[in-house]
Amino acid sequence: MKFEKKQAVWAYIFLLPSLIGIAIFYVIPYLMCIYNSFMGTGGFAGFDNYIAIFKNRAFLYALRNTMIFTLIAIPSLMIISFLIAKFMNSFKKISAFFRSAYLMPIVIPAASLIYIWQLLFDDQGTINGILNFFGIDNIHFFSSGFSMVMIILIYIWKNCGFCVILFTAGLANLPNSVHESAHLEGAGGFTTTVKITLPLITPTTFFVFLMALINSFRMFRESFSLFGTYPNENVYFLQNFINNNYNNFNYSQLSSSAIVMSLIFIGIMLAFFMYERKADYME
Amino acid sequence: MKSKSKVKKYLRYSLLIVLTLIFLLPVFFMVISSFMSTKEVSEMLNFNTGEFTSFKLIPGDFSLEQYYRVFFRNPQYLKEFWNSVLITFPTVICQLIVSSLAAFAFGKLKFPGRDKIFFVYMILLILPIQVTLVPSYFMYQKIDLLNNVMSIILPGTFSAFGICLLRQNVRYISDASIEAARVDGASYFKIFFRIILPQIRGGLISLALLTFVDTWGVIEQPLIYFTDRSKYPLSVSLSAGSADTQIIFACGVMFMIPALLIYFLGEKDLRSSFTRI
Amino acid sequence: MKKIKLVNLILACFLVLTLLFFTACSADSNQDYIGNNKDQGTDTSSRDDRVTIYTYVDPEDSNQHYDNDTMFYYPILQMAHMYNNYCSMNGVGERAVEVVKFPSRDRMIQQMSTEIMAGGGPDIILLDNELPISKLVNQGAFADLNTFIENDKSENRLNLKNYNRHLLETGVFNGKRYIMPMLYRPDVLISNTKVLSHYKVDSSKKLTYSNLMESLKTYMAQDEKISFLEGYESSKDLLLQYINDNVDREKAKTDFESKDFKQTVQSIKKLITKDMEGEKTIHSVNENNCLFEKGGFDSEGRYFPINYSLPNLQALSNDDFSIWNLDQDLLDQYAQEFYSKINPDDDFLWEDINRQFEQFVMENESDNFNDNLAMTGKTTLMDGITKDKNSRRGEITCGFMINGNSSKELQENAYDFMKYSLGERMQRYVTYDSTYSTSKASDVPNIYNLPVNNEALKTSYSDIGISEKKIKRITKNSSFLEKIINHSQSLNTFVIKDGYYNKNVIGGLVEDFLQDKISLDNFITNLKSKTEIYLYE
Repeated sequence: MKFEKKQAVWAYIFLLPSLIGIAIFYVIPYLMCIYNSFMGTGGFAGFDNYIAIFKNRAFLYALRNTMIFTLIAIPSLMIISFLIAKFMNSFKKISAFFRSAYLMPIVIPAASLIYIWQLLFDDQGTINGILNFFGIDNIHFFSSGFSMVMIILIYIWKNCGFCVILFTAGLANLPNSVHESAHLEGAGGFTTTVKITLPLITPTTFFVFLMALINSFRMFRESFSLFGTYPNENVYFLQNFINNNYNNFNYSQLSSSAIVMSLIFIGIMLAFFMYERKADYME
Repeated sequence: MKSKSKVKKYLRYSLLIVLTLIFLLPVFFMVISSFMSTKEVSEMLNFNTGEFTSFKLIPGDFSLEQYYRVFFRNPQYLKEFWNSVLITFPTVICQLIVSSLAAFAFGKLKFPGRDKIFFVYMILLILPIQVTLVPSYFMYQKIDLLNNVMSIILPGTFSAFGICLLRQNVRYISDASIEAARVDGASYFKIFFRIILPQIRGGLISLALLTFVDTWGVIEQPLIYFTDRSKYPLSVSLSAGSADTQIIFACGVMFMIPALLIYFLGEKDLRSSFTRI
Repeated sequence: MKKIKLVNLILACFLVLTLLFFTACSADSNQDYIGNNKDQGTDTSSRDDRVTIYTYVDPEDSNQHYDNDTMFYYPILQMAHMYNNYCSMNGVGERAVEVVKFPSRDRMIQQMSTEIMAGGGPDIILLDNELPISKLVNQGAFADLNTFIENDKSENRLNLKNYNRHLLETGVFNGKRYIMPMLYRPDVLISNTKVLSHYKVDSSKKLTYSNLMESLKTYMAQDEKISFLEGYESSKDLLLQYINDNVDREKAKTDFESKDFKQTVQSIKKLITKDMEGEKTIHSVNENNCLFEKGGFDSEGRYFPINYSLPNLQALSNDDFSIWNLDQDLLDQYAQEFYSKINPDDDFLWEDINRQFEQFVMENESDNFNDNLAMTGKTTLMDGITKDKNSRRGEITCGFMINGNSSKELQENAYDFMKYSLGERMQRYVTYDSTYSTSKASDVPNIYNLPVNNEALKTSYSDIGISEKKIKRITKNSSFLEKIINHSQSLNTFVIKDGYYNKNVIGGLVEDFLQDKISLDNFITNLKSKTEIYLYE
């Protein structure tokens, strides 16, 4: 009994710096934000700000685009990196060079690559040049629905390497016997993957998901450098909305949309968390 | 039968190479472009020629002009590079210290409310920066942190990201070794320094790398918190629109070198750490 | 083993750098707030009891250049300077206005936006191109000036009848007066009769977007190197203005998809890109290489809008004979000839003699003058291009709002300052007098706008016209000066430019379009989506 108490005290000692810092730099601003989301110019406004933003078409655009991005980009990133990881693991020996190559994009800061993307995706850019060669019409990556495709592609390119590394590590840790026994029972490659491999690497998947989610906010940096403060309506994200409301001095609208945005992400994470728990119990 | 498997093997290798190229080419291209003359760069970035732009894999005329301009003609970029260093290095070090301590507590120690607190950390981790940007501004104004590098270093230090990453590492350390040390009468600090730290070295390096990359590329915070333009880090002036296109690639290379250095120095440990996740 | 050494090495590097950082930090901390802007920190207590204005423009800084952006600030700063003198002379020094200067415009706007959001901010907010005025109005960030005007029972209370009605209405939103305009400029195209007749432009016919191409047929057909406007800045403004004319801010609707819009955008582009080679080209009507002028360039090639100070307008009117425009040697000759006939012992007034001298010179010079005028052509003006053929447009270039967050007392004080700056004396001062700038720093260009106060304009005008009343004019037609004053009195539409929209929302897009980086269809789709997002936000 005494030992456990001592351990708890020590745990709090180790945790203390972090707890203080988190409280000051994250919890307090978040609470301030929540408080402000209920305040209007004339004092307490209840849910008025929330009702107002859900009537605001710009906000709905932003919400739609953010949801589309999150729901398409994150799963695609996870699937693609899982497939690449499986592919890499199928080699018996592989040079460290290849693994390093995959990590390269995350090491390079967003700002340095903007011009490369412009060269690639511009109306007169390389991709359109290639398409033209095959007789396909220009794609306006900077001013049509393809802007979203472009952002998703860049997001996957940037974060794929890191997720691949995480997945290869997770897969490598699986005992070989698992696959062999499944194979003996006559299960095909696909069934094995879905029924056996995936549940076994759930902790890894969860971590990959977390990374993908965090990094999806960072895509705003790219979007901002590529499209500016007022992008076309297809890549107008919640971050744009919040940022522009800052420039427009609309603090209550800013706060309430920030809260809505955080609630959405908390919801997504909570759902995934439940999934992980469930998988844990199944184990 | 044998030839078929050989074809398959070649296919597999070529796929591997293609994949690798996709990830490497843009980076490679940036380095190449940094050796072009400024004239060639502006020609390349001109989208009005009526022709489609193409990637030149070999510079037309090899020159060090861009580097010369960055290092000798525009000392402002070096100053900004130094500003980036001033922001990034303290953040990385402090984040390592704070996170490893907390990760030990979360990963190996039992205390009431552990899972609940950790869940709060995870939620704070996924909060987009925009949520706290403005309230933080008011707060920094009150405690006089505006225009001070601390306004970026401190939030970076206490980001929950490191705790999440290192906790995974800490959890893979066997309980037996900790138990044995404790039976020997070692204090928790001793356990932390003697057992935990050496075993999560890979995790620490990957955290250092990731925090470094993140802080090195910071854009939003300096724009809002810094009154004084001379304190802006390199990342701000590299973000499109404000940069000088003629030397942009050399700046980009200069910008990514520190991150690459850390990466190559810790590469082995780094990969070993991921096997723990 | 080697690996560990490497890691240690890195860690050692980290440590050294941290140490360096902390030393650098402590050395830096002293220069955090430099010079004038020390007020922008957290310490608000010192200016709690004083009315504040934020600015980034410094009239005493000769490096700063007067342009479309800074013109909102110069006059008010001059007035604040005068007002503070007035306050200290009248023993009410505590009412003086405190001008807080920021190192840059971005910084100022950012500080202001955060402060206003936090429930503070400067007490007087000046119109600025980059402030999202309409958004701020919607949020009720400003105080209703009508309450002050109605509650004011003093003898020098504001009588709105003395002001241009249309102009004042621009500041009224839903019955509440949020913006008080101070100065304005008419939207006119300045040209030369000779140039206009050469291109068969009928200066009496009002230009609208729909008759634009028809009226400028001859000009569009010519191959000579002559551009429509004097520079890129004004040309871009013309297109931006047309776009703004098609945005309905109240209903959050645009007209961008109509066929008409597409056609007009195309013709405006054709018009303004004719012989305009990028941003650096500088043209002028006097050198016969542009059709119209809306501004000019200083010796360093920097753009500035036309100076509407009355002396400058008079100087522009080349159809008004003035002996001071003559060659000095010639003038000396006349002087010798004339004054030698005068007996200094006679009893006379020097003023009469001088007037006689002017008359004498004029009679001798009138043929020359008329010949010259016929050769160079007269300066003339055309009404700016609008959608409606009856609308005559002007632009508010200076005005202010009172912060709704400020305390009642500070708002009252701010209102006092407003009253002072709207008074006839001040309004004349910023139209005509240039003592402030000459006494402070001679490099500041004396560029002024027209005053809201009608009385002030009339008095200034008659002041400058004294000599004309007493001597006969050479030309019978009304002078350019008279024309422009009459025109400015007849304006019926006033706009506050939405610079935030023009610059931050669609600026880059318009630039890309003018430089042929994107196609027309692409331009219109993007214009629509950006504008809609902006309007909904």
